[in-house]
Amino acid sequence: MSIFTDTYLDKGQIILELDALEIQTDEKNKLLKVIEEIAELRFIDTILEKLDAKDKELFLEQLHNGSLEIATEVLRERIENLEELLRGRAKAVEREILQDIKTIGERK
Amino acid sequence: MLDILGKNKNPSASFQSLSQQLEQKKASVVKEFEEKHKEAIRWAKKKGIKTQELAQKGARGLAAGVAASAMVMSVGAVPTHQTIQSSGGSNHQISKEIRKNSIKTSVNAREDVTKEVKNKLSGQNLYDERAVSKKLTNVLKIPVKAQLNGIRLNATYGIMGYESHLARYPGDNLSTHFHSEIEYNHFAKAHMAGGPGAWGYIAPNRQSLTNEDIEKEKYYLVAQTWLSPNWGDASVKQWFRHRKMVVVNPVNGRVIVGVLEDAGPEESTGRQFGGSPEVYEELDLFKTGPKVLMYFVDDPKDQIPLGGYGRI
Repeated sequence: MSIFTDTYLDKGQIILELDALEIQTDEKNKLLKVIEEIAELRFIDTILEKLDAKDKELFLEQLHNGSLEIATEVLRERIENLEELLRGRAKAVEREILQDIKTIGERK
Repeated sequence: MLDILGKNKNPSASFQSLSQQLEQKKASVVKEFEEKHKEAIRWAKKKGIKTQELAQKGARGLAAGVAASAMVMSVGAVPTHQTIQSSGGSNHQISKEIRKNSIKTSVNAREDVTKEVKNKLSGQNLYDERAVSKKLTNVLKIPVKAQLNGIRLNATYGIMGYESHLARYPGDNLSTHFHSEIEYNHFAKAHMAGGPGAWGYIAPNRQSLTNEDIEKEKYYLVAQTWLSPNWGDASVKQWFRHRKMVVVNPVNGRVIVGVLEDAGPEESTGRQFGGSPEVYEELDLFKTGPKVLMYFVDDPKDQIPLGGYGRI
């Protein structure tokens, strides 16, 4: 599990809803992996949409080949209320996923 | 599409429907991402990085940066997702009288809570503090928190060491420590620590020792308080003293409520927590292995008694 998504995404309710579907543990873990991948895409989308082209490149370069500290610094300088923003996005992802699970549950 | 169905021979219908739905969602999120962030995709292509990998590496890489610092910076924020659920009809009321101050404390615990705890934690990532604290709060019906009053420890899941008995007052030793022969025969083998815990003696002398003090030593816990991200202020050190915590053995679902009375173990031991002989025994850690979950209990009115919890 990613610490990043774990920090922002509250998977507790999602897991409870998955448990209610009476699926197997390995199935649950596979679904959680996809949910995490969706969340990761949403998080990076949230970050990138707040950066201009030059900062995007600087951020990505530092993230992948440079200093994580600089990448983080770029975000902190350029994006106001970064944590709040990510938490808001995580909440939206959580709601979306819960809705999907509930729909499946209702079809049972 | 549907690659997560993989090698599962008999996937359940719910799993099939949900995995299909989630894979479709993921594909649409990837598509949307690629359309929206063309520069990033161009950059990634030049580096030979795929879209999902870009997101994955990005999010995971950021864990060490934004998330880690956010956790430290969020000191003072109380998680909002933790709630205490009201007791259900099948609950069994246990109550306990503490002679000292004639305070009657009571708490609701579910019958056979161990089984439910074990089931809830099965397959759970035990480092996921939010999920674990939420589940424990719901099952135990007491507020279980990784962070309380803005303060947290360095770990909520780790190895618990078997500690000696603490001297509760100056001169307390193996011959004065136990209050029955059964207790002596059972627990004297654990020996006494050379002195009190990190905060000094629990009572100034034998005459002042109360039932509450006896319970505190009996169910005492040890944590690496100096590794807490909040460490540094004398008030924080004091805050940890007698701090009520819940310890859960995820293997058998056993639960105890205890208090912090000592700081340790040394980092070099590879352990994160310590527990009194009584705590260790109650959790049956010799049989299951020493890994436990340890969280704060928010109990400002001191209504949750110390000791084994939910085994009726």
